[in-house]
Amino acid sequence: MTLERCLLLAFALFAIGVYGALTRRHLVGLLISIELMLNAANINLAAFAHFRPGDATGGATFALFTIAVAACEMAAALSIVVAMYRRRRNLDLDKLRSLREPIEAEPGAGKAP
Amino acid sequence: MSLYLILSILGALVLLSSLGRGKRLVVPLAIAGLLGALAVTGMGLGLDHPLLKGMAEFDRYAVLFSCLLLVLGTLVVLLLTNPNERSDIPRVEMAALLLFSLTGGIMMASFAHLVMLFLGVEILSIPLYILAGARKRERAGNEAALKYFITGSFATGFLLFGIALIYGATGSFSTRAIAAWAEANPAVFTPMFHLGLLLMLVGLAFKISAAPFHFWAPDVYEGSPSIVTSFMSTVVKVAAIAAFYRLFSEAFPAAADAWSWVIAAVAALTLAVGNLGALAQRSFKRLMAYSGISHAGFLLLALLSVGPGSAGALWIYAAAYSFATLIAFVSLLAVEAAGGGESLEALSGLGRRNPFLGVCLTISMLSLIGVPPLAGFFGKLFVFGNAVSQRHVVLVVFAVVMSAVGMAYYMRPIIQTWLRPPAGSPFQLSTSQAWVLGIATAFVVLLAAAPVWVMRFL
Amino acid sequence: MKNLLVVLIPLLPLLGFAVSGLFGKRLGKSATGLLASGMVLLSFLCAAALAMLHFRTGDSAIVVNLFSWIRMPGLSIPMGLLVDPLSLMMVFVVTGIGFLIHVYSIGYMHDDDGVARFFSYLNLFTFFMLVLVLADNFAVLFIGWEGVGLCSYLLIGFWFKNHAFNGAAVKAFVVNRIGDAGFLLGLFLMAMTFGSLSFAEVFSRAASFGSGAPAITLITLFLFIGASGKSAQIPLYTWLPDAMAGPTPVSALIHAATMVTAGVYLVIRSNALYALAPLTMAIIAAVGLATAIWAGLIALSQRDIKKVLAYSTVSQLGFMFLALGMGAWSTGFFHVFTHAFFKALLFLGAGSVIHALSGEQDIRRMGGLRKALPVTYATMLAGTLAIAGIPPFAGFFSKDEIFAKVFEHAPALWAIALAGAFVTSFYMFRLFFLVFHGEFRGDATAKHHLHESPKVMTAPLVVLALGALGAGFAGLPEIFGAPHWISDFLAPVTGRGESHLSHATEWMLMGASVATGLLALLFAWVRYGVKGRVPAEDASVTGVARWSLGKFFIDELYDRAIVKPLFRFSAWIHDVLDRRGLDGAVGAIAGISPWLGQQVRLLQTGNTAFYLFAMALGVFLILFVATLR
Repeated sequence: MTLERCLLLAFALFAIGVYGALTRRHLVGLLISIELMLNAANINLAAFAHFRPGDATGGATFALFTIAVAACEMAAALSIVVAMYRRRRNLDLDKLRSLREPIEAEPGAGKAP
Repeated sequence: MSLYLILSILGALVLLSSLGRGKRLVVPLAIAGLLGALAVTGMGLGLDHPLLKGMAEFDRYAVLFSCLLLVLGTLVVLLLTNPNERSDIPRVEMAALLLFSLTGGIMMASFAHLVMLFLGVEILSIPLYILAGARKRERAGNEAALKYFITGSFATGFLLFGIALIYGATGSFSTRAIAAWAEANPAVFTPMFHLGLLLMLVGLAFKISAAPFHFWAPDVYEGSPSIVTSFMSTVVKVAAIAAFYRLFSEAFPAAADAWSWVIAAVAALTLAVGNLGALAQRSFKRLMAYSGISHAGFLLLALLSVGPGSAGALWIYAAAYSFATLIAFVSLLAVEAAGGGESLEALSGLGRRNPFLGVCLTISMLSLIGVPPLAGFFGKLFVFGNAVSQRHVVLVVFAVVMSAVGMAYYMRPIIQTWLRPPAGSPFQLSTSQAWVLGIATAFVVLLAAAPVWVMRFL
Repeated sequence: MKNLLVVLIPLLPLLGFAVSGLFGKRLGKSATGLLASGMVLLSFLCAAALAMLHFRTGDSAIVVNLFSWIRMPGLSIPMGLLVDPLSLMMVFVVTGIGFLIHVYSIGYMHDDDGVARFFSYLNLFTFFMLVLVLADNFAVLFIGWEGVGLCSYLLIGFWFKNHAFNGAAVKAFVVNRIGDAGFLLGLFLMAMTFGSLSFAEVFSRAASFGSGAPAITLITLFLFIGASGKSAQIPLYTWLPDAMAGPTPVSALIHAATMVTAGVYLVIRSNALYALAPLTMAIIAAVGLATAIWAGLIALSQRDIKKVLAYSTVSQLGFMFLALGMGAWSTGFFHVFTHAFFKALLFLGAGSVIHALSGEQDIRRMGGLRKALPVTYATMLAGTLAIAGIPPFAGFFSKDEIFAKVFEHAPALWAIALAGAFVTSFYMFRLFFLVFHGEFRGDATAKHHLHESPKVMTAPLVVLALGALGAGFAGLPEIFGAPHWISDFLAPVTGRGESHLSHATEWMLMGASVATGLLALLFAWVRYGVKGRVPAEDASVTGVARWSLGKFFIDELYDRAIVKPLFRFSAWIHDVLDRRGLDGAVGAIAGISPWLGQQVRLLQTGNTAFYLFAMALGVFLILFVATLR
């Protein structure tokens, strides 16, 4: 295992995460994708801590912090998702569209006065 | 250190007090604690010593921004006592969450280590995801919370990945060490450093709702309870821009070539989107959301001219913006409580329904336009002046044109307030609202006398 | 003592604003009016006392520094007031004429519900106008500049209670903001170049730059953009005619006598800078002359009594800028001074007519009012004679001085300006004869209601008419042998202009301009006084009714050669260029922003997936450009 391979893995994971976040419509899939992005960063942190001279404990500690913070974040997120499921009985992101610009245009707003 | 502890313990105490019969004591307790925290911060002035083994530092910049955040936080918590406010909001939990979020904001203003920055961002954000959905029975609140969470954590992913790359490139998380590294390797910024820098920029640009990372803001502002929105548009924005400036002026000044063009482009786009978007709004709440986006653009201008006086300019601008915005949201809360909606028409004849509120709202809008001699004028004057002195003339000209556009939509609430027939009968403000309005208006007016002091202090 | 007086001048109207704004409802209508007028009068008296105490001894300026406002490394701005001959004269104009208009408003606004609000705005306006003229640096001046703009906006919108906020008001706003943006850029540039915004420091430091320095040219150009926005010059003049929607006293005070002259004041105040920028001066002269002619031609075909006066104001402001472009600072100010009297008079007179006709503003439904409104008739005659430049009325002296200066520098421009004077005289007498002579053209009920205005309205008219008669004697031409009082008084600020014209030339010029004025009067008299033409016919003047021999020849010649082409040209300018050209351009700027706003709005689809995609796209673009660099 070299640093380059670790980095390659991390970048690949991050890219998969971003791709997933952009394409998933199901909220659970979306949460997993975001979790992938965070964990890609964690791999980076651990890899740098292991292979690079310098503040080695810092990287490892940061990774621990991230895991804890991500757990909190996901707990909050899941509670919101559950609340959504209770009310709407589905978890489709595309259905979340009541908050937006009003559909009908304001009279005269698009024309020169 | 003590400030973080005070606020966290305060939040925990507030939560505990809800168990017994202490519910009525919650807000007084929180306010007393916040005022205590403000006093502690004030006393810590000039002590400058690093905290937590150099992970945070309460220098003058941090103290001044912490004071601003604490005052804003206190005012928002004060609004929670309003008896007119709808009863379906869980006040105790909200007070506690606001305090936790405020703690995160203060960490963002005082970090000296990227762990503290990351923790600050997360401690600020996670309570807000929940606060956005504080009205459990409303679909809009739930949708706002989800949208905020999804876009927010997506941005956090970029921020964290950026931090990891910076660590890999420089071998440290400390802002001083990063700055020293960049200083020592001026010509050979590695791609990794470059990429990390830009990803961190993106993460923070999301928090201040700069375009094209702003899309969440209007929807989330609209869907959240107005009290929470007032917190988001003041405390969150101030904390985010404080962290933004602190990071780029302390860790990356030597790499300015690598990021200043991005800031300039993002600022220009943000100014355009915020101001033009606000023009077409009918809802006062959404108008204020776009107003927040446009001011993020003006605040970014301050980042372009890092140097003597720019931190002071940033502080004045941030303070002027956030107090004026707070006034606007108090007006919105009062009008909502009096039976009006969130549309601009609900403000109709406000000057006759409640003259005090009308005057305060007018002052707030005038300050947001930048009419002298109110605080907003000085913010714009200093920020523009600094940017011009750094040869960003084209951008400043664009910003001036955009602030002219801003005049067109900020005049609309004023026109509604004074030149339209009243939309309802006269109403009274609750005591807490009157206090918040009075204090915030006093700041907007009196800050005009303070620029000298702030500039000398920072 | 002196300092106290200086501070009191702006403070009293501010006090009036606070009291009438807060307690206006409780005080009652007439008490509020008296209070507001009284504050302005007191302010006038303070200025008079100051003049008696101080300026007789020969000192030139008082500076009062209230407090240090902004202090930064490299730039410090005190909140300072400056009283020198120029600002003192402006204070006299603002408070003196302002007082008369306040008194007039007591009568004019008597039946309106919002009297207290009206007077508080009027006092607030007076306060900001005084801050503008008393400022001792450009930053304080800018406060006043923005303040008067805001008050003007509030007062224009005063009667717009229940209407949609219309495009005209938005346009007024956008146009003024374009001007203000220019002003602000000028200020930034000035602060960068000179490291100061104080008049004294900027002007003394500018002297070392030498004539034609690019920095100075740029600063003066930006300031002139600001000035042409506020003073309604081409291409930023279109807002002023629209602003006539406000109550008539507002038009008299803000859109004739005081605020619109702020641009002229700014240029006179900065004369030390402009003297170093010959290019800017040439532009000012060209814009001024073009505006004077252009607006005059448009005024020819207007049918709304206030619109005629509004275009006439634009045109007269053009003459003022023409004088400034020649470097004749005190001459320009002299015209500001006399114009304040006769144009306020004309507007108030028009207000009296509108009042008598219960709101009718179309001159085609007036006529023969001289019997019903004798005082208004007499005073309006004085005002019309003054603006037409008939001696010994005030306009004659100031206009003649402008023409003399123009002739001295550029005889060709003089000829054009003389044509402008002809047009001025013609449209004013057209208005005058149409309103006061001939038969009444309104319906019977309107005729029954005709009444002279109350004393509280006619008294200011009489005072202003005396001013329109006498103000010119403050600046008698050199050949009369009397001292030119205005020019002498302003000499510490503007310097003393030298005249190189021979006496014979001056007499000739004077004769030419009087003859032009009288000729136009005659034409207007024949057309509207004797023949009783009404503008409605203008479009269809094809068949000629009477074939009376000699009369026909002159009449036809006059019609074909002068009047009809003029009217066609005027209508063409108004329709094609004014409405579709310039107005369209301004409208397009004002119009494209909401359109763009709409596009921004449409992106906000509520679809979170799109938001994420936009963010990712943003990141991608940033990284992509970063790799290219």
